[in-house]
Amino acid sequence: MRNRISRCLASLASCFLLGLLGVQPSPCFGQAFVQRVEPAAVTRGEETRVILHGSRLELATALWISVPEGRMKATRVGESTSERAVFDIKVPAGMPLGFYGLRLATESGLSNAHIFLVDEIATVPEEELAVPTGVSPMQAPQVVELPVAIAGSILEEDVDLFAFDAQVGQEVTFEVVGSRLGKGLDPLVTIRDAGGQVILQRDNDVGLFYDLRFAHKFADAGRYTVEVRDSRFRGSDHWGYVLRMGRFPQARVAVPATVPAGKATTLTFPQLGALASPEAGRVTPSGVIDGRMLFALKRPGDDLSAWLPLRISPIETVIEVEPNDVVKQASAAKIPGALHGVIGKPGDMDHFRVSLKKGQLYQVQVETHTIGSPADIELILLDPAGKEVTRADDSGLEEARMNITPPADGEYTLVVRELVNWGGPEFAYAIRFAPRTPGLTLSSGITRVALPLGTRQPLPLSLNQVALSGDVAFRLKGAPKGITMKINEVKQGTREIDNYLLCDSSTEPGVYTIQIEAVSKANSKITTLASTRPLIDRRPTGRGPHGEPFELREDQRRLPPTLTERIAVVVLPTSPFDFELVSPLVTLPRYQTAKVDVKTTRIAGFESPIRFVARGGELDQNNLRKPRVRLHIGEATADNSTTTGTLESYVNTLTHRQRVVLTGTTVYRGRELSLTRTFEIDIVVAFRPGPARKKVTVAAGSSVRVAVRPNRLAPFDGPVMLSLGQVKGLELPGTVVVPAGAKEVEVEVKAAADLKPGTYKVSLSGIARVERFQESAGGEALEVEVTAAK
Amino acid sequence: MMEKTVKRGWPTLGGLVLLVLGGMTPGVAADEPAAGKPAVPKSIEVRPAEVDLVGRREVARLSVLGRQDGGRVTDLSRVAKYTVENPGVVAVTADGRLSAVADGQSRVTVAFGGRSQTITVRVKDFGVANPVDFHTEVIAALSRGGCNQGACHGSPQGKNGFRLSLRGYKPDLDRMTLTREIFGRRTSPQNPDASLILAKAANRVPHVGGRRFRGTEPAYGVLRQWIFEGTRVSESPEGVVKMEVLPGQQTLHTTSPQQQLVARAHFADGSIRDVTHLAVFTTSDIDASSVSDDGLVKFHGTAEVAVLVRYLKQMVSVRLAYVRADPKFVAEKRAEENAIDRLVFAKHRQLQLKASPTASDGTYLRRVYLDLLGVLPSPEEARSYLDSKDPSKHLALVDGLLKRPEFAEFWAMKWLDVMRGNRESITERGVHKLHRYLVRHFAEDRSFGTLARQILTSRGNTIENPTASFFRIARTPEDAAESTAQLFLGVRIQCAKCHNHPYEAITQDDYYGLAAYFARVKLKGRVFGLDREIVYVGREGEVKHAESGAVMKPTAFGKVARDVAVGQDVRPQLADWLVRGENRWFARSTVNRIWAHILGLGIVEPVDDFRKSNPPSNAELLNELARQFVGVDYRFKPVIRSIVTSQAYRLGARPVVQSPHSAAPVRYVTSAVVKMLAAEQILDAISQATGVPEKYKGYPLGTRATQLAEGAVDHNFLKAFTKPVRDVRCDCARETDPTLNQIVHLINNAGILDRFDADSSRLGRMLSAKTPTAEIVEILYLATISRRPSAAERKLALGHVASLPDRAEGLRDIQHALINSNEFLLRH
Repeated sequence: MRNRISRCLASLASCFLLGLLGVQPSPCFGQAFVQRVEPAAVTRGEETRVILHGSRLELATALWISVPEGRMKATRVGESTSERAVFDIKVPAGMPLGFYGLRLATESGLSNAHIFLVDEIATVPEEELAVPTGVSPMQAPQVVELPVAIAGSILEEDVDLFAFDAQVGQEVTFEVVGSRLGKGLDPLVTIRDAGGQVILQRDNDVGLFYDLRFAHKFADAGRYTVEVRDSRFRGSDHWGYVLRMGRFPQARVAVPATVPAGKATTLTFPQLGALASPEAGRVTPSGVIDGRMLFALKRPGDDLSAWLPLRISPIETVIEVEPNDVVKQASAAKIPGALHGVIGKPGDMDHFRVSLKKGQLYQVQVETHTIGSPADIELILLDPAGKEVTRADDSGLEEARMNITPPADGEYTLVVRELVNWGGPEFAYAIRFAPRTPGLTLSSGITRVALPLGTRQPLPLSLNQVALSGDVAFRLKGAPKGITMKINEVKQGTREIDNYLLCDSSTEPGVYTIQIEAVSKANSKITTLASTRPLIDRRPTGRGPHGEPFELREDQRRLPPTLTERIAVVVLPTSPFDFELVSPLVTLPRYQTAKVDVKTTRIAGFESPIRFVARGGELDQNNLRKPRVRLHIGEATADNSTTTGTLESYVNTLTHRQRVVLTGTTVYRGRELSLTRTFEIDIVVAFRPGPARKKVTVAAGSSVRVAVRPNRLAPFDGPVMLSLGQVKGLELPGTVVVPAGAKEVEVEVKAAADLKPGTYKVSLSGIARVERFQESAGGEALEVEVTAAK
Repeated sequence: MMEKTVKRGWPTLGGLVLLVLGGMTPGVAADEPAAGKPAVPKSIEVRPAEVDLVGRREVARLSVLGRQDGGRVTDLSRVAKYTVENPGVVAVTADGRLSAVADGQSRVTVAFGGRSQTITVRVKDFGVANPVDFHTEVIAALSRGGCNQGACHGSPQGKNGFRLSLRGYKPDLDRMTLTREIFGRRTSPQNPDASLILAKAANRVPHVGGRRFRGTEPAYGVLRQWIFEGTRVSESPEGVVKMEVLPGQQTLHTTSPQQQLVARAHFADGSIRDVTHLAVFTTSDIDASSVSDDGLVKFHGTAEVAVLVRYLKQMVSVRLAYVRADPKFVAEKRAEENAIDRLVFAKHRQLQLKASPTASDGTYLRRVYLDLLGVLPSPEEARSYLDSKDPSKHLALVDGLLKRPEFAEFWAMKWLDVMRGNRESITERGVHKLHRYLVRHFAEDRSFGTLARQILTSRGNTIENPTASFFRIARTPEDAAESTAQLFLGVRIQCAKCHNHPYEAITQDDYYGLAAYFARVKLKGRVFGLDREIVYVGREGEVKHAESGAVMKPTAFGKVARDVAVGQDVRPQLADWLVRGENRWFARSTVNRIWAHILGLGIVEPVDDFRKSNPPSNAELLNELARQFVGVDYRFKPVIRSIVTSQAYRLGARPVVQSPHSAAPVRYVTSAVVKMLAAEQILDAISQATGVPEKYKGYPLGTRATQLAEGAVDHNFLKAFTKPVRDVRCDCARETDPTLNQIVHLINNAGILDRFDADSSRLGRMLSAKTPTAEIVEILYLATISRRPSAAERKLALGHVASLPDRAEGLRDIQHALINSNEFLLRH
């Protein structure tokens, strides 16, 4: 670790520079950002002092932790500063080991999420040792005794060294928790003997993302050095890690990996062989209906536990019975079932016999990476005659899945093989094979809400109904009195819900965890919790068009469910202001501008300006790091209750309706407060041709004059060339130009004498130069009713 | 024909010794007669023993060899006397060219120096119409004239509106071009001599390419006759199945600096025809030899050359050696440490070469450090070695160096340079993973055969299995085939993607056959912004021949793979073929790379361009190294040890005066190759000499340049000295010629100058410790150029320091001067 002060100074300098450049800060500036939690692990059954490092941490009030209320208690220690907040976290002895999330609540809102570890021993901090001049830091390790959990961090070009003494034949298990904390760290461990010779070097262990867990038996007694670094020498002062060393299982997969709740299941661990005491692998999940948990495996004599991911599911578990390498040896499996097995060696193929019904839709979903296995599974379904029906591999890095509708009743065979043709004891898999059942999926677009008393904040939801008809209701779980949702029920087929979380003045300010549950009104047993996708970290990217110096990382795909199924809420004191869009829908002609009016209200005596920033839709950066639409809006002041902004469309703007989030931010009594409202922008071509009258009548052999219009949208006022579709028997001009400023032009439509009476449609389209771009648009057709000749 | 008997002397005792020492390739006796007067042979050999002439146009040449003692030959083709038994059947010119007269059979006797041999010549179908064949004669004539070569009308755009297929590989297209384009002006059957192609080729009308044919040349005659006959094209063209070139590989007698070659094409119908008059001849060494259009090779001095003979798609390379005896040449007797020395020095004796004296201890020490580890010895290591009196200290030194981690890092760097692993191709994470993998490979001295197998059969996640990055870099079967050939076979097959290799018997079939091994290799998973991909073997996949469209069977230069089931991997068969001991490319190309990395010049050069027309400078040596390499299961360290402990490696860099009749010495290890150190070596050496480490962005302080995982490092010095960014698969990215930019860096680079002043530098520490000036000067010499100063240098240095008021300033001057000296910057 190196001097962090210089980095802080650099950050300050950056802020100063941004200020000089006149960059308008976005709302995220106002929110606390936690870069690092030190240590990254807290101890079960004890109270651990935790320091949060980051920015805008002043005015910290509480710590939000992603567990039900009261199970972990966090007490603030002293006043926080902008870079640091201190809490004592007390973890009950019965708390399951594993990963949890936290956020810092301040008087301005909630910070980003951060992952921490609940472990069973206290961590030893990584020490910055005084290295004598002329001595390489590589020669000055921190000496530790096993078992140990060391909490450190990896800076750019950093190598951390720890030394320990090993006995002859001693087996030591090593684990680094780094990337599982949601950071970019790719830890690499190198073990050297006393002479500096590399004994082994270890990188990723699949299933642990870029982390590793492995055991090594030391042939010779002596002092060994463990180097921990990022595999690319990258680093950051918020890349924390925990290095665990001692006697604990190196297992990464359990079989079965799906266990029922409330029922004892004995797990096996292919990487360990048969356990001397099988009861160490017994698990009885409780309190979880269908979710995930980490099983802590600790054998007699182990110093520490290893955590293995399990899915809790009521469906029946089937474990392969070897040999099942050919169809005839297939293991029988009941459907629905959770099929488990291990691709024990390269080339191994497992077969399961399943009885399927004609016409029934079955869903087959593989899990490997999420249960700690490196296997890359390919599924092949054979019909009763042994002929291949279908096969499925993953798409990219997701797990394989397939939907099957058998052509006939019968005994089918599911073949499970490793696509890359690897195998070994860790190549376990779990396959959920079940008929498709009606269900719901719900996701929330937000993961944290700062809710001032007496106001509301957006809660956008996405709903998907699978084979399910009827309306869907929403329930708010865990919310305190006074917090409600604006929309509690939607009609069947509704997918996007612009919901709001409302907070009345009776609510007790504080930090809460809420969950949104969707319930089918047709079948109240069909429910689901809203999932969220909190982003942990962010990386500097330089100055963006909105002034933001960071963007969020997207490689945090496997976060603990304790974090992904919960929404953090902080109820703040009453806001001194509120605002609304005058119109919830703004039409923006492409390559033109449109006005956006924002009406603000203030409490008496509040006179601070309110800044607005809009995000979403095409206001966000595209892949060229440029937004296609910008909102230029000034501050709302006490003198002016309505602020007018201008939306401006740039090159390649897409024409569609899009949802935009407008955040108003102010400073009130030393804290920064933000409120968010949503509105829609409908981006359209700046004109839409059409006739002045939709229908005209003309007798065969005579003519009629018809006015056609470009129907421009202000402020566009340029010439438009209209094209009229040609209809046999109708004589009319092919094109006509509507000059700048003119509203319409008249054309003559002449019907041929022999034209059969009836209604004829003349299409209308237009081309115009809008700013620097040629635009074309179709329009409303003109209906010409031709009557018999007079 | 004049005949002259030349007195043949007995070889001297010394000559006999040399013959024994020289093995299969005899040396030259000092009393051999001068060149230009063929010696009387022990026997005479005429080839072919039988000739069939079909039709009136067919001609044939004879190859007449005189066998001498020691296996050397004299070419008598143009000096022998030819006697035809039946002149009514066959005629023969004075230089041995046979032509038909009438149907029948005749014996032809060839005599020289009292030796003779008789052959049979048969003529048939003399009276039968025998039109010119477009595919086998016209195309060959165009090739002969050079019309369809890449630089002329064979370029993709053609030249001046006239486009032929490259080297006639698409005859149908050529026929259309010749007969239909520009209103048929190119060929005029009504008036053949007015045909534009003939007029241009003979330069009767202005032609940018100049005159390609004389009117009397057979190739001109072929073209004219074809036009005269109406530009006919056979519907069932004859296929050429092979070509032979007589008399094949030979070592010429000193009296015979020339050799007539005879090219004979074997056709699918079993017939054999002399095509010497239509073949194209080129020599590998135009300084030492020349070859005429009708296949007469002439040597200008002592040399070994390969003559490439090309006829249509057939190519044959013939190696010829000629030594012009130098009566004053005395072969040196040098100590031989191992087989390398035996073969290197035998080649010296064969080609009348002299080797430089053995290098000094200091030079050897520095050289072996740089060549094996890429770094300099420390002053302590240098002192220890220089002061040791142990006669076998170099052996202990080499053994110690091979165990050091710098060895693995340095050799991993060399291989990464040609594997094209960079951030763009395999991402930063992938580069580091591959680097670590190769470092471990060389540190543990694992089998290179195993590594090749792992790479070629690799699969899985490229981050977990770095060897699979090979397929992330070479993403198509064609690219994988090209990389395989260049990296593991030392062969460049890229040309064969569009046409058969112009200088080697590598065909498009070879190219697409090799590519077919990789047809089922698939990649997936480049999503989510994650820097990993997964290599796997798909159920199916095929490679089609670019020209014929045929689906190719996996074939490694003639070795056809066994069929494998759907979804099975055929690549292991390629790996099996590759690392089998009898594979003629893998071991030889790999040891050649090793040799080139250590000696500075490959036995085959460029190292990845093995072909018959680019022969090794010492085939026996290459074979011996390959044999050793195979014998140690393709491990590098034993072979490297064998090389760097040889006397040949220990030769000094100062060249010696060679015999005027010796071969050009450059390729024959007569002295150490002097070359600029690589960018990383120079920078590491400066860091070592000054005692101040260089800082590379993204790496911890103390990391050496040779330890960097990446090629494209943002470092001005490394860029100036052309550290490769690893985007090509050859060793060609490093510039070997110094540039002004480099000189400026060495003289004026602030980062380097600051090191001299730094208190923490080697010099700064010695000054702080008040080390005596003489001691400092010695240590600076040892740290910078790995030797002590001579008495004169010491006096000069001490005098300079004494002349300045500040001794530190004087000592900095000395270090600066040493770092800018040739002795420091060059490997010598």
